[in-house]
Amino acid sequence: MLITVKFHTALKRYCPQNDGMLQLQYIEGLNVKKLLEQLNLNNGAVGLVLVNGKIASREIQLMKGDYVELFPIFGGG
Amino acid sequence: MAYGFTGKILLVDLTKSEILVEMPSEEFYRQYLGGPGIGLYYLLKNNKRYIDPLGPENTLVFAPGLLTGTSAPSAPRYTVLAKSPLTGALGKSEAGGWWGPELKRAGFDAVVVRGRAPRPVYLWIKDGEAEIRDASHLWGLQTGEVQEGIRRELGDERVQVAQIGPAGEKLVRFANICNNLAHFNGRNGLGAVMGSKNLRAIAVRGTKAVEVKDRSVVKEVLRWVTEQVNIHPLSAALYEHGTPIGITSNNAGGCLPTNNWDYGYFARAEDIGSEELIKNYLIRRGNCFACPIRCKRVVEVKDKDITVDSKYGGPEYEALAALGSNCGISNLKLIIKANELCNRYGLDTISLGMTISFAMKCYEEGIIDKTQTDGLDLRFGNEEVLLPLIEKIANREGFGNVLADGSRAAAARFGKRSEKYLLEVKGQEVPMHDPRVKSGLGLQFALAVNGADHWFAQHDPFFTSRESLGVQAASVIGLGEPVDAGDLSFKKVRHVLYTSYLNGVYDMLGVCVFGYVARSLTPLDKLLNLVEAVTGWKTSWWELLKAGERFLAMAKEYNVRQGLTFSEDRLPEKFFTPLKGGSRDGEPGLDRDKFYEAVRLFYEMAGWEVDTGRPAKAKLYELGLDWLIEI
Repeated sequence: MLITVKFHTALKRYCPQNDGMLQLQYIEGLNVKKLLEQLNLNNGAVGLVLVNGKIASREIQLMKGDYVELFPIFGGG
Repeated sequence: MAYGFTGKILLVDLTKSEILVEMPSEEFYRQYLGGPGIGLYYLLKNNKRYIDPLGPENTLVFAPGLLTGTSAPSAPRYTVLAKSPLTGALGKSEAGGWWGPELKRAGFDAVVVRGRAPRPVYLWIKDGEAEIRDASHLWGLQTGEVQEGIRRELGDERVQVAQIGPAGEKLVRFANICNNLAHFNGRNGLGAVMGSKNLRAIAVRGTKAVEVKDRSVVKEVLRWVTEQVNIHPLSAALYEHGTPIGITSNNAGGCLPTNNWDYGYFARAEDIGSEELIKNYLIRRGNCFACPIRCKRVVEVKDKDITVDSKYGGPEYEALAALGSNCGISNLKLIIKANELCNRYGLDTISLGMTISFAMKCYEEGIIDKTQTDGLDLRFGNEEVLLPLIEKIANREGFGNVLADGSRAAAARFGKRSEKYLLEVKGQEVPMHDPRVKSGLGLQFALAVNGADHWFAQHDPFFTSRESLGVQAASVIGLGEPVDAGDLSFKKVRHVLYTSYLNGVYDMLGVCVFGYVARSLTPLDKLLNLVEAVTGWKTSWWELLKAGERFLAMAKEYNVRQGLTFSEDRLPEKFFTPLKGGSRDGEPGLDRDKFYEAVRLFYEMAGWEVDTGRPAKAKLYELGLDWLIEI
């Protein structure tokens, strides 16, 4: 079973697919923090994470079929 | 031998048509560095009592930073300071671009202007010399025409022009100053101060390099930055998307100001986001002097109904939000045109957008109607009103004259308790960032010496976890522990305090927040290397942060003289009420009691007196500001 990850705007460069959408195998115990580690995105580049449209902390446990959105960290424009 | 600084300050009296040069000691520069440090020194020396911001007594200073004009990366900035006609407090606004470096190359660390010229003039500074020239033929023209006209009559395309537009001439309270048509001292209405002095522009040409002690270290840091710029996530994002990236990020977070902050979610946000901008209108990514990041958006529109000239700076996040979602408008081409008009006329996009959205809210609530708005139907999202309103405001025509004094003054005229729809601090409209998702920003809005300002200190999101880029960066100055975005404990207060000193230092050095931590890549150890290499001083972050603290203390003293008190350090009530719409719908606002406890604690940590609003005597002595006590 898969989860889908959408990389928004500036994070697209970290996605192996050109369109910024990635399908990943779900593994038991996967949470947002582990997902970011897996994607090599624990470098402070990611700000907001939405899971199925809801704001998710790094500790949130993911489930099969989840739609995860990653937004770049932003402050002060 | 002066390194970094030039050792010369230009003093101009427009009433007497007199120009003098002051030459402070090296010790002066070590204390005040540059930028707002130098600026406040002259503001305090010249203006000891309450003054009229649009009167001849208001001292107006243009001061580049200590590093400005050298090859130090991303340090092109200068600060303009004066009493603000919008807030009645200290006015202080920075701009990047090309003018600051040119002034240093022309041999001056600052221009201090007093008085009022009897007729329109501009100042011409070239390689150590200055003269006052007639500007009657330029008065009333747009910024593009004036820049072109000045370069033509001086016979040099490389002259850099800092100027107001027609809005500054008309004393619009949020008129701005620009250089090279694309870099703005945006906030606090400093353009109106220039206009009140009949000073249309300051033109500069400098052909001498700024002296630095150790060129090789400066080159090495510049080389490192240039190498890292495309790799580091923050600088790479600034290059690719610029600040407009914030539209979709903030919207996803339910904190994109929509309809005068009624909501935090705008359904059509993607239509006005960075990817739409890149796809349809971006023609180039522009930069400032000695900066490899290229965060500026250069845009062009060549349609039948709308044309936009690329020589005017393209829209940043603030303009897209303030004139877009905040007014319910989702037409990107129209917002780009509105932004261009602001740059032609010289208007702050934030205060303008917020004043328009305030008027729209009052119209929607029946407080004002078409008989008062020159027949304009001011419903949120009505695209037809945007450009006509900007023209009216810039020219102080009809209803535009009511709005040209800002939203707080408009509320006083509308009456009917319309002030409950205001979102301002000290009279300056809040920028497009929601304190309910970052409490430190709330403290910044309340405490910033020049009114609601989103760069008084650093932004909370960069410091919330161990991995956060700001936590690693700021451990150098003792802020190596993460602090939650919503924290209002002593930890957050200390964080805002120390980073307000840091941002003060950045301004005094001429450094851009988009080049340095925590918002970008260059770390604090490299910045210290730069300061030492440029000046030849053996210094430390201790000494530098003390200089930042010194600037803040001077600013507080200035504000007290202009009548401000502790009670002005407050937040609009909206931020104590829940968010609405999108992913944060229903989330509570800030805790009012905790917030004001934190404001009070900030004063106490800073060594400021709550009852007088000024720094305690002991603090002034400690910072070497004894001369402020004697006056």
